[in-house]
Amino acid sequence: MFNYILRRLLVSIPILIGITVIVFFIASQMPGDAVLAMISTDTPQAEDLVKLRRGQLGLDLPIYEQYGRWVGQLLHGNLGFSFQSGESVISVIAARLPATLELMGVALIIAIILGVFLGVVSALKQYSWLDYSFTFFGFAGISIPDFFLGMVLVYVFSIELGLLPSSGISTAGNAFSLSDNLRHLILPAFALGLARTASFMRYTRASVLEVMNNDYVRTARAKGLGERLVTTRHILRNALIPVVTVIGITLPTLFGGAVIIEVIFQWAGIGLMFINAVTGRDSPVIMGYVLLSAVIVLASNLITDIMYSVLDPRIRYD
Amino acid sequence: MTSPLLNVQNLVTRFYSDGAVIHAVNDVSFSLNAGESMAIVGESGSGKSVTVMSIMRLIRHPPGRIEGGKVFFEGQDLLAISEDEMRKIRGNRIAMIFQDPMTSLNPVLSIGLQMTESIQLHLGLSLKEAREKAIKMLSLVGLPKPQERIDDFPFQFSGGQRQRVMIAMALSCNPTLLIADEPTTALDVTVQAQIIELIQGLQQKLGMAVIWISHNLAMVAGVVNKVAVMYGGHLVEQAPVDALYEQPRHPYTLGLLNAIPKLEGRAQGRLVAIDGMPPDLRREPDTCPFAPRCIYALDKCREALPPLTQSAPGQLSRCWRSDELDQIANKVELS
Ligand SMILES: Nc1ncnc2c1ncn2[C@@H]1O[C@H](COP(=O)(O)OP(=O)(O)OP(=O)(O)O)[C@@H](O)[C@H]1O
Ligand SMILES: [Mg+2]
Repeated sequence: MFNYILRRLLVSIPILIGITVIVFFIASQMPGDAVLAMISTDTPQAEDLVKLRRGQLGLDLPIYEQYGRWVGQLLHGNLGFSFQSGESVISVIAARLPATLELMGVALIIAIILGVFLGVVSALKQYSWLDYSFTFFGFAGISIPDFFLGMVLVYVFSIELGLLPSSGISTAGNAFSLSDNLRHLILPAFALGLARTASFMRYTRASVLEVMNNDYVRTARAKGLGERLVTTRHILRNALIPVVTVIGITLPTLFGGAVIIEVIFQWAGIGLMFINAVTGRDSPVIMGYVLLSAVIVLASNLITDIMYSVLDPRIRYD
Repeated sequence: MTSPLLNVQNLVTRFYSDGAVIHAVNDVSFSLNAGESMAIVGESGSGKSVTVMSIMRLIRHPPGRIEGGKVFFEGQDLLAISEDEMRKIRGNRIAMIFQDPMTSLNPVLSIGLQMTESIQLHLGLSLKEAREKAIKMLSLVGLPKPQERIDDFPFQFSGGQRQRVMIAMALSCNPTLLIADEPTTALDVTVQAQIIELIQGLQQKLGMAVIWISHNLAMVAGVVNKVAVMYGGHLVEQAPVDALYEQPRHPYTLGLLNAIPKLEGRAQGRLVAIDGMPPDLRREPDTCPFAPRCIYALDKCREALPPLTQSAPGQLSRCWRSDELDQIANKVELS
């Protein structure tokens, strides 16, 4: 198992390099650059200023050289400095990441708890009205895009009912308090979590239904075990193995989905930072974000595999 | 005369699927004394498993339902007691082993856990005592090094070993009745004989009654006192083994016997397959299910279901012509 993890980590290195190369070159092909985004070209002196600034930022170098510099910095544990603010990219990310992790984490917890619970109930009560309504809700949840759901939630709970704040991570002007922060978190977390709830529910239901018909479940009943033990120990233990994989695969999409939700709810996380960086052609920040996403994708795959082997002895002992 | 250990009376089990009614078990009755062993034989789909699953009350609803009959076990009607009471009997007084040991054990739980969970439940032992009991059972079924293997997972055992584990698990609470639903079908031929011998030996040692389910009459004939033959959801004949071989009273039994190659004591002994298709269980069970395939069938057979009648001491059959079968069969044989 340890060797396996080590091998996986080594394989990730070329993948990470490949991703950064591709994104670096694509980003350089975007129309305009950081300097043009900051300096108005209407004035006569503008041209010289632009040249000067490009020289300072290294934007006049050939693209491969720019990439080389970036990698050089990276090897020293430095992600460069934001073109817009001059802050180090690492500190920008460090300042923004907790808000995003909070949003993702709560959304994921909502999705797992609700999704697995509803999926199990749906499967155990197959073909009941409960099952049918959960199934309907599931399809709705899967088909409705996050941003639309986000806007509906804002409309209903902030505008119409006035129950919850519609944007920000806390009330402006007040000292930060956790309860205020959590109130702000509810709508974006549900907007991000509900679509995943629906997909977890569908997977859990299918998986439980499949496992329920296995011979070993019949064996468990034939031993005289009660339904609760049969369900938790014999059905769920097996049914959740594939669900764990689905959850693992979902993590990266949750990270991506957070970008849109953060924009809608002005949630000052890393997604909002990324969108601002793209608008400002702030390539060090863009690259920082991309590198982080790539690490998250690779890490979630690895975590999924580890979880899988914890749950399934057939893999653990290979 | 003491009452039998198990007495099944007029058992009826049906499945409801896609608007159709499947008559899986029709009016099945038989009884078994303590310590005795019997076989239920019949082709695939004849209702053997549904019969014993009904005795265990393990028919899932939907789609299935036990719709009639009584199952007296140790004097108590199992179909009349509560689910909680039934659960105390399952795995405890009546235990079951299944056809496929590959799929009948939970792949993600150690065999130790799978054994101790029912031992703890039924015998009220501590985990430590239950483990000791499990190890004892594993060595009883001839699993080498049980102390070392108890925490292994099913995939770490061979097919034959897994069936041994299943047997150890089933017998761990000292059941008075063991139901073995085709316990060797999924195993290698060499292992089959070992497993049969093992169960037989344990039966003598522990004194429980055993119901063997098989579609191979020859395989179980040597280990049981009596045989029940099922066809199309009906019990068509029940007899002591010797009587059944000596003089079968139902054409389907006759067909089964003729299908056994080179049977000692039967001169004709050639392999005869039974022509025709297995019956459709969706039809109303009010005529003889075997009539369409029966070379001795009369008009009467297609009009009414014969009752289960006694044709000789201890021998029951469901055939209008059971008494004359011997003669007409010989005639057909000669011509
Ligand atoms: N869950 C179910 N749903 C619908 N029909 C069923 C179900 N289980 C069994 N049946 C019906 O009951 C009939 C008898 O099945 P059963 O499993 O008892 O056969 P069997 O004699 O044990 O055959 P085999 O030798 O193949 O195990 C089958 O033909 C099938 O049509
Ligand atoms: Mg069967």
